[in-house]
Amino acid sequence: MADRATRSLSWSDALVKADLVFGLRGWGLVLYGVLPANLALLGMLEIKLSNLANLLPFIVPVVFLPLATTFLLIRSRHKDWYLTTRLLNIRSLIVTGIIVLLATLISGVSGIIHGRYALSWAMLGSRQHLTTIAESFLLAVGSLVLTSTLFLTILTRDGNFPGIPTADFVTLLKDIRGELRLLQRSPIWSGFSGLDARTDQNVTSLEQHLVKLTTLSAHTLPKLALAPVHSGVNSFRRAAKEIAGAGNDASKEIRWKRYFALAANSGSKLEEGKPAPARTPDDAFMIQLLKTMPLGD
Amino acid sequence: MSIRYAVIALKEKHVEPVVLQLNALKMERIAEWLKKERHSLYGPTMEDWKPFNGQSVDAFLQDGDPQQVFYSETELIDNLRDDLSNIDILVGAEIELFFLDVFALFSDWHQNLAMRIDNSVADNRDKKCCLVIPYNLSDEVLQVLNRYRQVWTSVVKGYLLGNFCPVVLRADDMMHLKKFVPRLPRLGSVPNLGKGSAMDQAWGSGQKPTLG
Repeated sequence: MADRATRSLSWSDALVKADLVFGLRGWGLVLYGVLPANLALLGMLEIKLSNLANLLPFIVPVVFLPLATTFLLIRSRHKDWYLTTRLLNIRSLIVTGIIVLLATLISGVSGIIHGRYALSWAMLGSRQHLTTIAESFLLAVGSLVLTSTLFLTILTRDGNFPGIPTADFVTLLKDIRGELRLLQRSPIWSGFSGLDARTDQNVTSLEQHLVKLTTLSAHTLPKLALAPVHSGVNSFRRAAKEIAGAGNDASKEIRWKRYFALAANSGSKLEEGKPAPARTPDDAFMIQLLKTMPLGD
Repeated sequence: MSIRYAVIALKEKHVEPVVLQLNALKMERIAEWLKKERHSLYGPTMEDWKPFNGQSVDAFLQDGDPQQVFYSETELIDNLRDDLSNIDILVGAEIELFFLDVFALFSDWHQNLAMRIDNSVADNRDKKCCLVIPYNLSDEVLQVLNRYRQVWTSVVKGYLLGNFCPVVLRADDMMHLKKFVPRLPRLGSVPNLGKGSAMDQAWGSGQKPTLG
C-alpha cells in the first residue's frame, strides 16, 4: 500500500518535472509550430544552397530573427500558462528547439519524398549531408516566418485549442498569481502582527480560485503542479488560525516563529538561539514555498 | 471559545537527574521504570510527552475533534528559559487547564516553575490542574482499575462520556469532592443538555442508567 503511494508520488513528481522542463501542458504548441513545415511536402518551399561555407556568415543573422521571435513568443505564452517563472527560459528554449528540430526533419523528409535528397548511411557526415541539413533547417525556419498565421494566433490569444491550456485556466492562473504576489508582499512575513484582515481576505480568495481551478476538466498536469501551492495555502491557513487563537503576544510570537521564521529567514541562516520550526516542519516548509515562489513581474 | 491548556512535563534531557533524585529518595523501582520508559515517554519538547499509551496530551485532546475546543499553550512553557527569567511570557496567556507530569515533581527546574506559578494557578477559580500518573507505573493499581472497569461497566462508560465519577485515591480527593459536588447540577435543576445528548448518542433508545 505504502509502496503504491510512494510510486504514484514519484510518478506525479516526475510528470511535474517533465512538464516544467518540456512544457508538456502546452504540447499543442509544438504541433502548431511544426505544422507549417508540412508545406514543404507540397513543394511550395524550396531552398538550394550552393556553397555552405561561403553562405554561413549570411545564414546565421538571417535565422536569428525568426528563431528569437519564436522563442520570445513561446516564452510569453509559457509565462501565462505556468504559475512561476521557474525554468521559463530553459523550457522556452527547449520547446523552440523541439519545434525547429521537428520542422527540419519534416523539411528533410519532404526533400526525400520529392527526390531532391537520397537516404544513404554512406553519406552520413559528408559535405553534401551537412548542406542537406542546412537547407532543411533554413526551410524549417522559413516555414516559421512565412506560414505562421495559425501559430501566431495561438501564441498571442487565449483561445481554446486542443493541446493548449484553455482561456478559463489562464485567467484563473493569472488571478492565483496575483493573489500569491500580494501574499508575498503581506506584512505577515515580518511579524505576527502582520496578520491583518487584508491578508486573510486575500488567502480566502486564493483558496477559492485554487478550488475552482481543480474543478476545471482536463489540465491534469497543472493540477498536479499546483498541489504544493494548495498545501501551502492550507498550512498558511492553519498557522494563521493558531496565531489568531493564541492567548497573548508571547504565544503569538512563538507560533509565528514556528511557521514563518523559516520563510522570513529564507536565503539567510536562522539567527542563533531562534527556534527553528520543530513540530510542524512540513507546514513551515510549505509556507516557505509560498514566500519564495518566483512569480515574475 | 477554546479551553487553553498547557503541559508541564519533563523533557528527555531532564530524565537523568530525575532518576538520580528518585534513587536518592529510595524509589529505585520507579526510577528503574522511568529509565526503561524514557524514550517512549519523553522527547525534546514538553509537547512530546506521551503518558497515554504512546499518545501525547495534544493528540488525545485534539484527535478527531473538528471543533478543537482545546488549544495548547504548552509551547509557552517550553520556551521558558532555564533561569525562568522570561516567565512574564505567561502573563495574559489565559491558560485554564494544566497537566502536570508526576515525574516533573522531582525536577529542580519544574520545582522552581511550580514556586513561581503555584499561587496564580491556585488563586483562580477558572484554573484547573491535573496530576497525570502513568497507570502502568504500578501493576497492582492497573489490576484494581481494570477490575473497576469490569464490575462497574456503565459507570466507567458514563465517566468516559464526561459524567462526574472520579477515582478517589486519597483523603484530599474526598475533601475536594465534598467542595466540588455542590457546584454540579442537582436533581430537579436545569438538565445538562450537552450531557443528555451525549448519553442519547451512547445509549440510543435503550434504557439509560439512572440514579436511585
